[in-house]
Amino acid sequence: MKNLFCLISLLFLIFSCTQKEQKNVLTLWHVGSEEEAQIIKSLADKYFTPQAGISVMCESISWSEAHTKYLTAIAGEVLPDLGTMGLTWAAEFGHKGAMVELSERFPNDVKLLKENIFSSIWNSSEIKGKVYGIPFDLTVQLIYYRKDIISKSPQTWQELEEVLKDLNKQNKKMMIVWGSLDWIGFSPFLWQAGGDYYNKEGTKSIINSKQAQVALKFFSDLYNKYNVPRSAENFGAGFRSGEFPIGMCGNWLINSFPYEMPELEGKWSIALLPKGPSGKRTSFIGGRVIGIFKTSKNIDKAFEFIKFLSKPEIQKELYIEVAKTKNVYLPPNINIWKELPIKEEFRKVLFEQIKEAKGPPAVLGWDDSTKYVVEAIQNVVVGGKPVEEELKKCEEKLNQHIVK
Amino acid sequence: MNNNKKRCNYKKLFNNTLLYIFLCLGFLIMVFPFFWMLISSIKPREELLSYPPKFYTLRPTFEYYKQLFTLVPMYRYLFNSLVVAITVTLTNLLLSSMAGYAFAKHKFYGNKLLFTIILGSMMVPWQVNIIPSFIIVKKLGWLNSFYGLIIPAMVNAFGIFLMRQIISTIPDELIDAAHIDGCSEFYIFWKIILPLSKSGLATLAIFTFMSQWNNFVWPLIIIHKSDMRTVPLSLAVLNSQFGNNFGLLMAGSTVAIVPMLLAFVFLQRYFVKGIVFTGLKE
Amino acid sequence: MKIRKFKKQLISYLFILPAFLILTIFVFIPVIASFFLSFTEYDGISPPKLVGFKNYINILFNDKLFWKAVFNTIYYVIFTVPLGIACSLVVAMALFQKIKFSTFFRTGFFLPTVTSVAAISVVWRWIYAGDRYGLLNYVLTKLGILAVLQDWLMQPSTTLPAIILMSIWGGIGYNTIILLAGLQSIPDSVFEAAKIDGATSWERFWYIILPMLKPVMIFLVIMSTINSFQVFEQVYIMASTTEYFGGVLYSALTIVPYLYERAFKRFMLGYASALAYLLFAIIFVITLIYMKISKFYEQ
Repeated sequence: MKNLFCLISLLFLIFSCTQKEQKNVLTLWHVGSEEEAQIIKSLADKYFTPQAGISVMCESISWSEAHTKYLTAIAGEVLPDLGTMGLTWAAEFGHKGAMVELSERFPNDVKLLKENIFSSIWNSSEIKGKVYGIPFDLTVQLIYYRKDIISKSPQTWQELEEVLKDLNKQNKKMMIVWGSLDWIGFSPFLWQAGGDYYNKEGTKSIINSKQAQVALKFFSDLYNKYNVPRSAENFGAGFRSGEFPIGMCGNWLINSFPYEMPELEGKWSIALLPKGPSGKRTSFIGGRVIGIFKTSKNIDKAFEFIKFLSKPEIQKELYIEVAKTKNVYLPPNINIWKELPIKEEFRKVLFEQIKEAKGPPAVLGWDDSTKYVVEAIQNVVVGGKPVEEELKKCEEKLNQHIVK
Repeated sequence: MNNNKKRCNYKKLFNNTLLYIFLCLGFLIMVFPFFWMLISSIKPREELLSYPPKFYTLRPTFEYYKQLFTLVPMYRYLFNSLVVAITVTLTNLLLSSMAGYAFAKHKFYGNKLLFTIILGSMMVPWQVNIIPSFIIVKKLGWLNSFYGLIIPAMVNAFGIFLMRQIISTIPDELIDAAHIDGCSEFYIFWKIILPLSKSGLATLAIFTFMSQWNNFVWPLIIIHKSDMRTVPLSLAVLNSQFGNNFGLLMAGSTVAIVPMLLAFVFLQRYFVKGIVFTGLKE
Repeated sequence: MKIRKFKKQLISYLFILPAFLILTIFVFIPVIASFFLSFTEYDGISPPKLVGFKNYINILFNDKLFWKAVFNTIYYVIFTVPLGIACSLVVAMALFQKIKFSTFFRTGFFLPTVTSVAAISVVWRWIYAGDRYGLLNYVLTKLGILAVLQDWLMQPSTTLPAIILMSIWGGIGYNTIILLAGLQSIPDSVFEAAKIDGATSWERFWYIILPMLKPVMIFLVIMSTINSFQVFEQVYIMASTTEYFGGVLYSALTIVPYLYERAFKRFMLGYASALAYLLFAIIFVITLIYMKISKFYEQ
């Protein structure tokens, strides 16, 4: 028992070896994996620090708890200079006054950046002319399909239905991996049908439209008529065995599938989403943005770093380095796409789909409203409730939550 | 008579067999998910996605373990976690049993009230205390340090409650006798109470060590520097946004379990007693 | 005489002091702070704004999700606490026998408790997955018990039971250890006396062991109740995605995941605190009832 005290005092001694704060450093919190954070850090060491004279510290934060970490850091005012975050978070934090409004402080640079970034992703990060975060990467919803089972990927909703009927006869199915039973999975169908969540000005919800009804009906049919499973676990295994020879999923599998199913080399591909009644193939696009916190003492240098990360050659290196880890980084900068070392058939599909895609609506209050959209979708698909009624309720809620 | 005894033996054998079958079945159910984790951590990448699921692998790989220790300074994180878990466990043992003893065996003004307050504090979900606690620790200047990880956890209501209950099973007569012999309170605590509540202390040690080892949200919030990370924090960032590195995550989780298992095996030797199983009158 | 009594009391306070000091700074003050926050509107950035009982009134009268969460939480507690303790008691009694490989068995039963929920939930998601790919479906159809494949975590009727099953599984090791510790402290003489009296093992269990375990059992019941009312990780990890939480149509939404979502996803810290104190009130009343029934302070 005496040893107990010795041990305690010894352990307390160890504590005294904590380090001093470094001064000339930009800190960046990166929402993502440790591997990515290390890649960003090494790129910064190699190209940014020698020229800007300031080093960059990059800390990774896991996705699941990132929102919590940012909130406590904001409340306690212990923030990094920079942070990457979910597409809509920057506007959310910015609206509350925690982030630097980039469009106000660096109007010319922001305009320049805007010209080079896919408008589909930019539109979601600019709300009423205010920009708090610059797109850092993107993720787009695609069709994955087995060429040896489905000869040609479906081009329209009708073709999709025919393919699914055929597959169902052979006891095979489609899977909606990204956004099963939630608004992310539903949005492409809504847009392809010609509907939308809000009007162009973002002042009023228009979710209770004829087009939205058609979309939700079709989305519900996918599950209830064509047996799309509700849970999206095991897409990889099912895709490999051929039981799920077609799936809607984000682009993140394109670099890992070749390693996980080497025997399928050449037997699978990606494709554009099918055209809806409106003739559009609109997909859902998401991603991360990078922004600067107001508490930063190095705002100018921090913005230099954002510009650095937006350079085409840096984004190309990011793609290459991340691909080595079997993951995918897609650059938001249009100009570098031709040079990416990526399979030609993939590049074509990705590029086209990113151009024809939409992100979350750029309306303040959207984050509070998603749950009503999800409720409507689940009430229809799982609960069997009538489409019109649910959309009507949803529209009322969406209108209530628009922040004027 | 002889016949009767024989029957007894058969019945005993039967009961024993039942007991072992029950234990083995239970064991399998409890261990299976862990077993799956272990297998997944040594499967080569192209075997992870197979159907029907494979419960074995013929080509085990240690690639993920290698990656785990080269990608991040895993030794440093293990060290951090160990320092925190061990210190917190030791202080908890001491402080909880002191308080638990007073609450169980002393009559003093405010005993019930103070104890009810402590019990009540457990009923407030910790999630709402995150921000106030964070601000306190920040004011004390303990962010990014062992102080911030350890001192707030040095004692907790659960431990006090557990020790109070364990100590209250010790007969009062023992303590009274010691008082009559003129022993001081501290002597009684150290020489009588602590030795008699060994199994309780072992239990508390296991739980404290475990909860500290697995603690995630608190370190997540107060640690902003990668070299002060604990094991759960580093595991959380191993996986990419879309869970593309399943094997690595499983390898990390497996490594994270080992110290706890060692602690458990070490501490459970304080649970020495057992009864002989019989199913009949003797 | 009085001075001696005072001195005696002083020693008692000295025993409690260190623990109380730490609890005050890191538990009681934050608890009081969040109680204060429950009467405010606070988004973590601009200073809290006093709004009186508005949060409480809104929750009680305008928040359907709260009542759904209360219902689900009670459902969860009613199954998890008694079943969990009953299973643990059986396991503890089995492990308390003089058996071979006892360390081995104990370690096995303790494994689920040791593993972090985050890691093990990956495995459970796979067990519960829909289609033939889920292990549960695979096994149950092979055994011929199940005719129609179920999507356990994605249909409202089975989500919460699936989570309850996983929680019981994860809690057995925890409860068993506490019960074993309690069994350890029963003096040998008690068992021997019972043997001489000629009690059957059932009688011994019911009339001797169980009463001796009373303090530990009370501890277990109170702790499991508190922990089950505050169930968080299981629901948060198993039945939530980035876009919705608490299962399809909130079928597994319980109170703490709900307040966590309010606090850290929506920045409604005042509202979340009010939710926490309503939950506190429920747990407190139930614990008081337990304490009354079990004559807690008269042990």
